[in-house]
Amino acid sequence: MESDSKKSFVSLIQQNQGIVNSLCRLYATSNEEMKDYRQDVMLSLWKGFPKYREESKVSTWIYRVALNTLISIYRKKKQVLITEPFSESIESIHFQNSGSDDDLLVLQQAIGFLKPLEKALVILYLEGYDNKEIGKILSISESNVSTKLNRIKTQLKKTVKTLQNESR
Amino acid sequence: MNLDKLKPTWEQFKVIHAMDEMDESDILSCLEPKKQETHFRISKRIAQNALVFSFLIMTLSGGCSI
Repeated sequence: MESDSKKSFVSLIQQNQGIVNSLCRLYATSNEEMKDYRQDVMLSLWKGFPKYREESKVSTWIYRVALNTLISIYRKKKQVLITEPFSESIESIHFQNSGSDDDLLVLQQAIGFLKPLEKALVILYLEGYDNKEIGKILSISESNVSTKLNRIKTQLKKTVKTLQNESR
Repeated sequence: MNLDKLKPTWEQFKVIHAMDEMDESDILSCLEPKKQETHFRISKRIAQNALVFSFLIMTLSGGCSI
């Protein structure tokens, strides 16, 4: 029974590893930390897997479990966010892509400045969820989502301007 | 700032990180070590409690002599 369950879990993760890896990358400050986070997220997903009843999309379930796990890790650690450690992943992106490196840099660096919950809000917004769905996933009210997203947009505007000025 | 402009970039970001493939053994290994760690922690706690308990038994077994 457990081996069947493990098999279906493995295939589910393999189909959605882009989501898991991207989320862990955006929350981690180094490659080692990224691997640790990924393990924690996998464990949370595995623990919640028996309760997952396909009522929501697989990706929505993964976002909910993964983001809440990453936010709680951050709350425990009480880390101060800095942007420097993203350089490792930025290098790898440069290596693989030549088209829109600037956009990827802006995405990573700008999101890197945000607090854990704010990061989750932006990620879910970029993923195309509406405020109601975001609120459900992160267990906050719809109005709170809307207020926070407006604040984040203003903050990102400033961050992007600063980053662009620094790169000139 | 219009966050919608970053939507295609987010898609690209996910595609790039999907390339960092994990095979079945990688995924399963993520589930195993922490289990062992938990078992180790539980056994350690049991051993500690047993030590404290036996110490208390040894020191207090004389009873109360009035």
